[in-house]
Amino acid sequence: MIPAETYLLLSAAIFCIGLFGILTRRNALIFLMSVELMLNAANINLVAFSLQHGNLTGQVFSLFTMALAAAEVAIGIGIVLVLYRNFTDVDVTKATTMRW
Amino acid sequence: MTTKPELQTEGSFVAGLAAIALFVVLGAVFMGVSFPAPAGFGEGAAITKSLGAALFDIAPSAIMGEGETAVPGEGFLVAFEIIDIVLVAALVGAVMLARREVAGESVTLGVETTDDDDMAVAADGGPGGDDS
Repeated sequence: MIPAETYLLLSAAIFCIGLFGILTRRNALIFLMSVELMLNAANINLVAFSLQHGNLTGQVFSLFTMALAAAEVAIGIGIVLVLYRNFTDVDVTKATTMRW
Repeated sequence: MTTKPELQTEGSFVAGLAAIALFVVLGAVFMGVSFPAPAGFGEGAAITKSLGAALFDIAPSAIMGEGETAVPGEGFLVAFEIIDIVLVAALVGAVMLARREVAGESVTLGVETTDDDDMAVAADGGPGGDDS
C-alpha cells in the first residue's frame, strides 16, 4: 500500500501549483482554476487520511468540499462576468474602483 | 510569415518563488515524518454503500449485502442539507450576478435596445413583422 507521505507530497505539490497560479497570474479565470487546484489538494489529504485511519469521515468531507467548490465556482464565474462587463477585461488588477 | 502561439506571461514570476519555497518546506517536513502502515478498509468493505449510509445518516447494516462489511463513519445528514442550501443559494447568486440589466430591465441575449417595438416577437408574423 502506498504510504501516506506520498499522498501528502502530491497534495503539497498541487497546492503549491495553485498558489503559484494565484501569485503570478492576473487573469480572474486562472485565479478560479488555481483556487480549485488548492481545494483539490485538500481533498487528496482528506481521502489519504481516510485510508490511513480506516474511517470514511474524510471521504465524506471531501464530497462536501467538492460541493462547496462547485458553489464557489458558480459565484466566481458570476463575479468574473460582472468584472468583464464593468471593466471589459478579466484582469484582476484593473478593477481598482472598490479599493480603499 | 506565420506566427506561433506564445505563452502569456502577464505577471511576474518573482511572487511565485514564495509558492516554490513553501513546497520545499512542506516536502522537507513530509519526507522527515513516518506514518504507520495505513489501516485501510479491509477485504469486502462496501465503501460506496457506507458513504451513502454516512451521508444520509442511516444504519449501514440496513443496506449491506451478502459478504459486505460496513466501514465505520459518522452521520452527516445535517451537513448534507446545509450544503444543499448553500448550493442553491450559490446558483441563485450566480444567476443574479450574470443577469444583464439596462435601465432597470432585464435584457436577454442578442437584444440591444429596450424599445417596445424592437422587443416585439416577430417570429409568428405578429405585430413586429415586416411582411408587407
